[in-house]
Amino acid sequence: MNILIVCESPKTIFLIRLLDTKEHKISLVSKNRELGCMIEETYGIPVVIGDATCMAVLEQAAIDHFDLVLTLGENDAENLVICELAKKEYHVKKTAALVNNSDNIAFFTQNGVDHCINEAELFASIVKKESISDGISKFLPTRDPAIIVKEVVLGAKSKVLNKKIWEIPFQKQSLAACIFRDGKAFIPHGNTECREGDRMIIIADQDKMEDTITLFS
Amino acid sequence: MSIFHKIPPKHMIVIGCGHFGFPIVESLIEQDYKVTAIDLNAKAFAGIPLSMNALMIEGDGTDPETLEAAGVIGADAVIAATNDDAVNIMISQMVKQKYRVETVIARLYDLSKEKTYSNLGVQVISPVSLFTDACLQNWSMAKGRGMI
Repeated sequence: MNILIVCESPKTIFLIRLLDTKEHKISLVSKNRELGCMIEETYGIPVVIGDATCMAVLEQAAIDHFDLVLTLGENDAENLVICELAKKEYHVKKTAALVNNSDNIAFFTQNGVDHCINEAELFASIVKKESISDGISKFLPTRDPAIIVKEVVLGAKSKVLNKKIWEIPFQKQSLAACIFRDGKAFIPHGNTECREGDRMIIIADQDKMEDTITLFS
Repeated sequence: MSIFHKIPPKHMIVIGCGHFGFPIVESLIEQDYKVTAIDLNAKAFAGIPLSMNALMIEGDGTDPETLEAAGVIGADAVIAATNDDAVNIMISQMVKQKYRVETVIARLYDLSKEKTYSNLGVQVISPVSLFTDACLQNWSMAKGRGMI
Protein backbone atom coordinates (compact mmCIF):
# COMPACT_ATOMS: atom_id res chain seq x y z
CA MET A 1 0.00 0.00 0.00
CA ASN A 2 1.19 3.53 -0.78
CA ILE A 3 0.90 5.64 2.36
CA LEU A 4 1.48 9.38 2.73
CA ILE A 5 2.04 10.50 6.31
CA VAL A 6 1.67 14.17 7.25
CA CYS A 7 3.19 14.91 10.63
CA GLU A 8 5.60 17.23 12.38
CA SER A 9 5.88 15.37 15.66
CA PRO A 10 8.76 13.00 16.50
CA LYS A 11 6.05 10.40 17.27
CA THR A 12 6.06 9.72 13.50
CA ILE A 13 9.25 7.73 13.98
CA PHE A 14 7.41 5.13 16.09
CA LEU A 15 4.68 4.81 13.46
CA ILE A 16 7.24 4.31 10.68
CA ARG A 17 8.96 1.66 12.76
CA LEU A 18 5.66 -0.17 13.25
CA LEU A 19 4.73 -0.06 9.57
CA ASP A 20 6.75 -2.49 7.55
CA THR A 21 8.51 -0.21 5.06
CA LYS A 22 9.20 -3.20 2.78
CA GLU A 23 5.52 -4.03 2.55
CA HIS A 24 4.30 -0.43 2.20
CA LYS A 25 5.63 2.46 0.19
CA ILE A 26 5.73 5.32 2.66
CA SER A 27 6.35 9.03 2.07
CA LEU A 28 6.29 11.90 4.52
CA VAL A 29 5.32 15.57 4.39
CA SER A 30 6.46 17.59 7.37
CA LYS A 31 6.88 21.22 8.37
CA ASN A 32 9.62 20.07 10.73
CA ARG A 33 12.79 20.19 8.61
CA GLU A 34 15.02 18.57 11.24
CA LEU A 35 12.65 15.63 11.72
CA GLY A 36 12.09 15.23 7.97
CA CYS A 37 15.82 15.09 7.19
CA MET A 38 16.44 12.61 10.01
CA ILE A 39 13.65 10.27 8.80
CA GLU A 40 14.84 10.51 5.20
CA GLU A 41 18.40 9.57 6.21
CA THR A 42 17.52 6.85 8.75
CA TYR A 43 14.66 5.08 6.98
CA GLY A 44 15.28 6.01 3.34
CA ILE A 45 11.76 7.42 3.06
CA PRO A 46 11.07 10.24 0.57
CA VAL A 47 10.29 13.42 2.50
CA VAL A 48 8.85 16.75 1.35
CA ILE A 49 9.39 19.66 3.71
CA GLY A 50 6.48 22.10 3.73
CA ASP A 51 2.93 22.94 4.75
CA ALA A 52 0.67 20.10 3.57
CA THR A 53 -2.42 22.34 3.56
CA CYS A 54 -0.83 23.97 0.52
CA MET A 55 -1.78 22.15 -2.69
CA ALA A 56 1.62 22.82 -4.28
CA VAL A 57 3.30 20.89 -1.44
CA LEU A 58 0.85 17.98 -1.81
CA GLU A 59 1.56 17.89 -5.53
CA GLN A 60 5.30 17.91 -4.88
CA ALA A 61 4.75 14.79 -2.75
CA ALA A 62 2.79 13.25 -5.69
CA ILE A 63 -0.28 12.82 -3.49
CA ASP A 64 -2.37 11.32 -6.30
CA HIS A 65 -0.14 8.21 -6.22
CA PHE A 66 -1.17 7.25 -2.68
CA ASP A 67 -3.87 4.86 -1.46
CA LEU A 68 -3.97 6.23 2.08
CA VAL A 69 -3.22 9.65 3.57
CA LEU A 70 -2.56 9.80 7.32
CA THR A 71 -2.59 13.22 9.01
CA LEU A 72 -1.20 13.23 12.52
CA GLY A 73 -0.76 16.95 13.21
CA GLU A 74 -1.68 18.75 16.40
CA ASN A 75 -3.99 21.15 14.57
CA ASP A 76 -7.41 19.62 13.83
CA ALA A 77 -8.19 22.18 11.14
CA GLU A 78 -5.01 21.33 9.20
CA ASN A 79 -5.67 17.59 9.52
CA LEU A 80 -9.21 18.05 8.15
CA VAL A 81 -8.20 20.30 5.25
CA ILE A 82 -5.42 17.92 4.15
CA CYS A 83 -7.81 14.93 4.18
CA GLU A 84 -10.46 16.89 2.28
CA LEU A 85 -8.00 18.07 -0.37
CA ALA A 86 -6.64 14.53 -0.70
CA LYS A 87 -10.10 13.15 -1.45
CA LYS A 88 -11.77 16.01 -3.32
CA GLU A 89 -8.87 17.24 -5.42
CA TYR A 90 -6.59 14.19 -5.77
CA HIS A 91 -9.05 11.28 -5.40
CA VAL A 92 -7.08 9.47 -2.71
CA LYS A 93 -9.04 6.33 -1.75
CA LYS A 94 -8.76 6.48 2.04
CA THR A 95 -7.87 9.09 4.63
CA ALA A 96 -7.22 8.84 8.35
CA ALA A 97 -6.77 11.77 10.74
CA LEU A 98 -5.78 12.44 14.28
CA VAL A 99 -8.68 14.39 15.80
CA ASN A 100 -7.49 16.19 18.92
CA ASN A 101 -10.91 17.49 19.98
CA SER A 102 -13.25 14.50 20.38
CA ASP A 103 -16.27 16.79 19.77
CA ASN A 104 -15.08 17.10 16.16
CA ILE A 105 -15.04 13.37 15.30
CA ALA A 106 -18.55 13.30 13.82
CA PHE A 107 -17.79 16.43 11.78
CA PHE A 108 -14.62 14.85 10.35
CA THR A 109 -16.54 11.68 9.43
CA GLN A 110 -19.30 13.71 7.73
CA ASN A 111 -16.65 15.42 5.64
CA GLY A 112 -15.25 12.21 4.25
CA VAL A 113 -12.45 11.30 6.67
CA ASP A 114 -12.56 7.50 6.76
CA HIS A 115 -10.82 6.89 10.07
CA CYS A 116 -10.66 9.28 13.03
CA ILE A 117 -8.18 8.68 15.81
CA ASN A 118 -8.72 10.46 19.11
CA GLU A 119 -6.39 9.76 22.01
CA ALA A 120 -8.87 10.93 24.68
CA GLU A 121 -11.56 8.63 23.28
CA LEU A 122 -9.14 5.67 23.24
CA PHE A 123 -8.27 6.22 26.89
CA ALA A 124 -11.91 6.79 27.80
CA SER A 125 -12.89 3.50 26.11
CA ILE A 126 -10.16 1.67 28.07
CA VAL A 127 -11.45 3.21 31.31
CA LYS A 128 -15.01 2.29 30.31
CA LYS A 129 -14.04 -1.32 29.57
CA GLU A 130 -12.07 -1.55 32.78
CA SER A 131 -14.91 -0.07 34.80
CA ILE A 132 -17.33 -2.59 33.26
CA SER A 133 -15.02 -5.46 34.22
CA ASP A 134 -14.46 -3.86 37.60
CA GLY A 135 -18.21 -3.45 38.01
CA ILE A 136 -18.80 -7.08 37.18
CA SER A 137 -16.17 -8.25 39.64
CA LYS A 138 -17.59 -5.96 42.34
CA PHE A 139 -21.17 -6.97 41.70
CA LEU A 140 -20.55 -10.69 41.63
CA PRO A 141 -19.36 -12.44 44.74
CA THR A 142 -16.01 -13.29 43.18
CA ARG A 143 -14.56 -13.84 46.62
CA ASP A 144 -16.96 -16.71 46.83
CA PRO A 145 -15.11 -19.42 44.90
CA ALA A 146 -18.43 -20.91 43.79
CA ILE A 147 -18.81 -18.39 40.90
CA ILE A 148 -16.01 -17.27 38.60
CA VAL A 149 -15.88 -14.46 36.02
CA LYS A 150 -13.34 -14.84 33.21
CA GLU A 151 -12.53 -13.07 29.98
CA VAL A 152 -11.83 -15.05 26.80
CA VAL A 153 -10.48 -13.54 23.59
CA LEU A 154 -11.58 -15.40 20.47
CA GLY A 155 -8.55 -16.13 18.32
CA ALA A 156 -8.41 -17.09 14.62
CA LYS A 157 -8.56 -20.81 15.51
CA SER A 158 -11.35 -20.64 18.07
CA LYS A 159 -13.88 -23.46 17.72
CA VAL A 160 -16.83 -21.10 18.11
CA LEU A 161 -15.81 -18.68 15.38
CA ASN A 162 -18.80 -17.67 13.19
CA LYS A 163 -21.12 -19.77 15.38
CA LYS A 164 -24.19 -18.33 17.02
CA ILE A 165 -24.47 -18.33 20.80
CA TRP A 166 -27.30 -20.89 20.71
CA GLU A 167 -25.05 -23.27 18.76
CA ILE A 168 -22.44 -23.34 21.56
CA PRO A 169 -23.03 -26.27 23.91
CA PHE A 170 -22.87 -24.27 27.17
CA GLN A 171 -23.07 -26.38 30.28
CA LYS A 172 -25.61 -25.58 32.96
CA GLN A 173 -24.50 -22.86 35.40
CA SER A 174 -22.43 -21.09 32.72
CA LEU A 175 -23.16 -18.23 30.34
CA ALA A 176 -21.62 -15.58 28.06
CA ALA A 177 -22.57 -12.38 29.89
CA CYS A 178 -21.00 -9.72 27.73
CA ILE A 179 -19.04 -9.23 24.49
CA PHE A 180 -16.58 -6.40 23.77
CA ARG A 181 -16.40 -5.80 20.02
CA ASP A 182 -15.08 -2.80 18.03
CA GLY A 183 -14.77 -0.73 21.19
CA LYS A 184 -18.35 -1.40 22.29
CA ALA A 185 -19.80 -3.71 24.92
CA PHE A 186 -23.10 -5.52 24.48
CA ILE A 187 -25.10 -8.39 25.98
CA PRO A 188 -25.21 -11.28 23.51
CA HIS A 189 -28.42 -13.10 22.64
CA GLY A 190 -29.01 -16.49 21.04
CA ASN A 191 -28.48 -15.24 17.49
CA THR A 192 -25.31 -13.24 18.25
CA GLU A 193 -22.49 -14.57 16.05
CA CYS A 194 -19.03 -15.03 17.57
CA ARG A 195 -16.30 -13.19 15.69
CA GLU A 196 -12.52 -13.21 15.77
CA GLY A 197 -11.19 -10.71 18.28
CA ASP A 198 -14.34 -10.75 20.43
CA ARG A 199 -13.59 -10.41 24.15
CA MET A 200 -16.18 -12.51 25.92
CA ILE A 201 -17.01 -12.28 29.61
CA ILE A 202 -17.90 -15.76 30.86
CA ILE A 203 -19.63 -16.39 34.17
CA ALA A 204 -19.70 -19.95 35.47
CA ASP A 205 -19.68 -22.15 38.50
CA GLN A 206 -16.16 -22.91 39.60
CA ASP A 207 -16.32 -26.56 38.54
CA LYS A 208 -17.81 -25.68 35.13
CA MET A 209 -15.43 -22.86 34.17
CA GLU A 210 -12.60 -24.98 32.79
CA ASP A 211 -14.91 -26.97 30.48
CA THR A 212 -16.63 -23.77 29.39
CA ILE A 213 -13.33 -22.10 28.51
CA THR A 214 -12.29 -25.09 26.37
CA LEU A 215 -15.41 -24.53 24.26
CA PHE A 216 -13.88 -21.25 23.10
CA SER A 217 -10.29 -22.39 22.63
CA MET B 1 -48.99 47.94 24.12
CA SER B 2 -46.95 49.57 21.41
CA ILE B 3 -47.71 48.61 17.85
CA PHE B 4 -44.14 49.45 16.92
CA HIS B 5 -41.65 46.65 17.40
CA LYS B 6 -37.99 47.40 17.46
CA ILE B 7 -36.21 45.16 14.94
CA PRO B 8 -33.53 43.23 16.82
CA PRO B 9 -30.03 43.85 15.50
CA LYS B 10 -28.44 41.20 13.30
CA HIS B 11 -26.07 38.90 15.14
CA MET B 12 -22.61 38.63 13.65
CA ILE B 13 -19.87 36.34 14.96
CA VAL B 14 -16.28 37.24 14.09
CA ILE B 15 -13.61 34.63 14.81
CA GLY B 16 -10.09 36.00 15.01
CA CYS B 17 -9.42 39.53 16.24
CA GLY B 18 -6.06 40.18 14.63
CA HIS B 19 -5.13 42.75 11.98
CA PHE B 20 -7.94 41.53 9.73
CA GLY B 21 -10.69 40.72 12.23
CA PHE B 22 -10.29 43.64 14.65
CA PRO B 23 -11.40 46.42 12.24
CA ILE B 24 -14.33 44.25 11.16
CA VAL B 25 -15.49 43.92 14.78
CA GLU B 26 -15.05 47.67 15.34
CA SER B 27 -16.96 48.54 12.20
CA LEU B 28 -19.85 46.16 12.97
CA ILE B 29 -20.19 47.56 16.50
CA GLU B 30 -20.25 51.09 15.09
CA GLN B 31 -23.04 50.03 12.73
CA ASP B 32 -25.09 48.77 15.73
CA TYR B 33 -24.86 45.09 14.93
CA LYS B 34 -24.90 42.57 17.77
CA VAL B 35 -21.34 41.28 17.62
CA THR B 36 -19.64 38.30 19.26
CA ALA B 37 -15.88 38.16 18.83
CA ILE B 38 -13.87 34.98 19.47
CA ASP B 39 -10.09 34.81 19.79
CA LEU B 40 -7.62 32.38 21.35
CA ASN B 41 -6.01 35.28 23.17
CA ALA B 42 -8.07 37.70 25.30
CA LYS B 43 -5.42 40.41 24.71
CA ALA B 44 -6.72 40.65 21.14
CA PHE B 45 -9.89 42.32 22.47
CA ALA B 46 -8.01 45.28 23.96
CA GLY B 47 -9.24 48.47 22.31
CA ILE B 48 -12.57 47.13 21.09
CA PRO B 49 -15.19 49.78 21.95
CA LEU B 50 -17.47 48.88 24.85
CA SER B 51 -21.01 48.22 23.73
CA MET B 52 -24.14 46.57 25.09
CA ASN B 53 -24.25 44.64 21.84
CA ALA B 54 -20.71 43.28 21.93
CA LEU B 55 -19.53 40.07 23.58
CA MET B 56 -15.91 38.83 23.65
CA ILE B 57 -15.09 35.15 24.13
CA GLU B 58 -11.61 33.78 24.67
CA GLY B 59 -11.56 30.36 23.03
CA ASP B 60 -10.92 28.10 20.05
CA GLY B 61 -13.28 28.85 17.15
CA THR B 62 -13.01 25.26 15.87
CA ASP B 63 -14.46 23.96 19.14
CA PRO B 64 -18.26 23.43 18.90
CA GLU B 65 -18.60 24.31 22.58
CA THR B 66 -17.05 27.75 22.02
CA LEU B 67 -19.19 28.38 18.93
CA GLU B 68 -22.35 27.44 20.82
CA ALA B 69 -21.39 29.71 23.73
CA ALA B 70 -21.03 32.49 21.15
CA GLY B 71 -24.62 31.88 20.00
CA VAL B 72 -23.87 30.30 16.62
CA ILE B 73 -27.31 28.69 16.64
CA GLY B 74 -29.47 31.38 15.07
CA ALA B 75 -26.59 33.72 14.17
CA ASP B 76 -27.11 35.76 11.00
CA ALA B 77 -23.52 35.63 9.78
CA VAL B 78 -20.15 34.19 10.75
CA ILE B 79 -16.86 35.66 9.60
CA ALA B 80 -13.81 33.41 9.97
CA ALA B 81 -10.96 35.89 10.10
CA THR B 82 -8.08 34.11 11.84
CA ASN B 83 -4.58 34.17 10.37
CA ASP B 84 -4.76 30.43 9.62
CA ASP B 85 -6.45 29.37 6.35
CA ALA B 86 -7.11 25.82 7.57
CA VAL B 87 -8.81 27.09 10.73
CA ASN B 88 -10.98 29.48 8.71
CA ILE B 89 -11.98 26.68 6.34
CA MET B 90 -12.86 24.29 9.16
CA ILE B 91 -14.90 26.93 11.02
CA SER B 92 -16.78 27.89 7.85
CA GLN B 93 -17.67 24.32 6.99
CA MET B 94 -18.73 23.53 10.55
CA VAL B 95 -20.89 26.64 10.85
CA LYS B 96 -22.49 26.03 7.46
CA GLN B 97 -23.12 22.30 7.81
CA LYS B 98 -23.69 21.77 11.52
CA TYR B 99 -25.32 25.06 12.53
CA ARG B 100 -26.92 25.99 9.19
CA VAL B 101 -25.77 29.63 9.30
CA GLU B 102 -26.74 31.18 5.98
CA THR B 103 -23.95 33.72 5.51
CA VAL B 104 -20.45 32.41 6.13
CA ILE B 105 -17.37 34.31 5.03
CA ALA B 106 -13.83 32.97 5.28
CA ARG B 107 -10.58 34.84 4.87
CA LEU B 108 -8.19 32.86 2.71
CA TYR B 109 -4.61 33.77 1.83
CA ASP B 110 -3.84 30.72 -0.32
CA LEU B 111 -6.02 31.12 -3.40
CA SER B 112 -5.33 27.60 -4.70
CA LYS B 113 -8.00 26.26 -2.33
CA GLU B 114 -10.59 28.91 -3.20
CA LYS B 115 -12.42 26.83 -5.80
CA THR B 116 -12.61 23.73 -3.57
CA TYR B 117 -14.28 25.60 -0.76
CA SER B 118 -16.39 28.00 -2.82
CA ASN B 119 -18.12 24.88 -4.16
CA LEU B 120 -19.12 24.02 -0.60
CA GLY B 121 -21.06 27.27 -0.24
CA VAL B 122 -18.44 29.16 1.71
CA GLN B 123 -17.91 32.76 0.60
CA VAL B 124 -14.17 33.32 0.36
CA ILE B 125 -12.46 36.69 0.77
CA SER B 126 -8.81 36.95 -0.10
CA PRO B 127 -6.86 40.04 1.05
CA VAL B 128 -4.45 39.35 -1.81
CA SER B 129 -7.24 39.38 -4.41
CA LEU B 130 -8.86 42.48 -2.87
CA PHE B 131 -5.57 44.35 -2.96
CA THR B 132 -4.82 43.23 -6.53
CA ASP B 133 -8.31 44.23 -7.71
CA ALA B 134 -8.02 47.65 -6.02
CA CYS B 135 -4.60 48.22 -7.62
CA LEU B 136 -5.89 47.26 -11.07
CA GLN B 137 -8.96 49.47 -10.64
CA ASN B 138 -6.84 52.46 -9.62
CA TRP B 139 -4.46 51.81 -12.48
CA SER B 140 -7.26 51.66 -15.07
CA MET B 141 -8.88 54.83 -13.63
CA ALA B 142 -5.56 56.65 -13.76
CA LYS B 143 -5.08 55.41 -17.29
CA GLY B 144 -8.56 56.68 -18.25
CA ARG B 145 -7.65 60.13 -16.92
CA GLY B 146 -4.54 60.04 -19.04
CA MET B 147 -2.28 60.03 -16.00
CA ILE B 148 -0.41 56.90 -17.17
